[in-house]
Amino acid sequence: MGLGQWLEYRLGLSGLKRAGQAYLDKRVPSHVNYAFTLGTAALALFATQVASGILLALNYSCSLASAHESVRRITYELPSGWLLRSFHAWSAHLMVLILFLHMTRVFWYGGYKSPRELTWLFGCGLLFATLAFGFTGYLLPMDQVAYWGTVVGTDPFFGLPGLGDHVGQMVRGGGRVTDATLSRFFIIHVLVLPGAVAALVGAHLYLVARLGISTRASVKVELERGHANLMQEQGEPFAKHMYREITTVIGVLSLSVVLAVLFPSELGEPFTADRTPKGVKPEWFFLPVYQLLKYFPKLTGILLANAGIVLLVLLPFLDRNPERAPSKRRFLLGVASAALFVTLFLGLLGFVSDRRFGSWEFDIRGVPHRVETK
Amino acid sequence: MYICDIVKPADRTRRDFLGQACAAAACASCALAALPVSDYLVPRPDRALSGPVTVAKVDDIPEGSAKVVRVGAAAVLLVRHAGQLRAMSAECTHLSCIVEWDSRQSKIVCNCHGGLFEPDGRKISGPPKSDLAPLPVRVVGDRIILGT
Repeated sequence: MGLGQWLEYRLGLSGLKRAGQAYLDKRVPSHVNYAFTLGTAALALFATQVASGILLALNYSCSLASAHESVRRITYELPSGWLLRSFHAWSAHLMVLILFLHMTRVFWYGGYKSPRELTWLFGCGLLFATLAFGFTGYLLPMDQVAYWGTVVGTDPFFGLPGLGDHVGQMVRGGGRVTDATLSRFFIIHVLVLPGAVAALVGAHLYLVARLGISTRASVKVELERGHANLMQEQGEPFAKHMYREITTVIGVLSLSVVLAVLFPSELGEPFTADRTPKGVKPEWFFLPVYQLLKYFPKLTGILLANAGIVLLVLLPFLDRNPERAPSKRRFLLGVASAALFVTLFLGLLGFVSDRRFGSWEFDIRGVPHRVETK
Repeated sequence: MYICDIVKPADRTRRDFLGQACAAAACASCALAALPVSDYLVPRPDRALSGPVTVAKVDDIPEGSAKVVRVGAAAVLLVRHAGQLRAMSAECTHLSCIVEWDSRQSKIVCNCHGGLFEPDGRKISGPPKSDLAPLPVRVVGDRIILGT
């Protein structure tokens, strides 16, 4: 018995191989384009994040006293440490951006409608888990920006009605950001979230494979005629689309490496709990919420932000229009475009607030004031 | 007639019942375990200032200046202004950033979002909702003592 047969007898992998080849022969709607490769790109980035994250964690020291020094060693002393850290950071930014774009594409084409509601829910879970990755990873370098960004970012939890103190203490591991905070953020970042994402990705991909990519036909037409029948008439083999997916994955990973080389991550001064530096801000993907909280009392701002999240998650159940084609959903797409514009504008205000550009100084609300230049 | 006959038709098997009983037991176990786990995750609150403690020397804080000192986990701002020495929490009441003394305008400022306070901790402007919490302080000889 050869090795191949020995393994086949014990593992039975030929069935898996047949399933994989059958998947390549599956048909996808003919309107799929490069915008439909973003999910795969996000998955590829997640895989590289796990690999680079493990390598970084091997030299990371998880305590307030030594975390900054270990990151300094990784960045400035260990061979290729700077590249590894920068690649990890840039891949994280790209992953969040690509997930937003992927979600926008799904929304635009009505891919969240029946029977793909659960796919959307698992996808929302993946988005929140990715944002949580960014939030927990932000603290780990323990420089001034990381520490104070986390102090400011975790404070709203204490403002939750009723349970605020309990939840806030659980998040920080106490009343303040301490060793306990770093420990739990580290464990959540390297154990809890990767496990959660792996499970959510598994569920999400299972549903995508089972239900197929949505067509332009309405919910009613797909239900009556069946997705498989529609694909026989209108689709193309998945193998043809796979070339686009491979191209996008290579492109995105290459972009991450190029950005890491051209704009390597730096490390700020070690944190000090006795002095808050000027201009502490969260990562770009939290800027809209950060800015929103400035215009309303804390609780109102938190409720508004959460209302937006709840609407997003419940979208498949709130949108009763059976049509998928964008031309037949103008009202909802108009409302969503307006909401997206407001979100981006808030993010822009968050970026420019407390900053000076030439002779214009922006206050904390993002209102510009002309200043005298000498 | 048994209770399970009321809940489900007579074609319910023992296997169905055992499966549901196991699921119910698992859920109940998770719910029970959640209580001590929740307690474990929420640590004991930071100990409040107990008893007087010397935090600085009088000479450390000249007139018109201030200093942030640590008392346990708490950050305390000591301000000497208009001949008076005051102590208050150094954590801004907006989002807990550490405030600073601005000697140019003789005010307390928060670098995070522009909160502004009087030398005695009363809020003047900005997003903070309340004044900086005052703390009892006294001078004994050349020592500044916090707490009663």
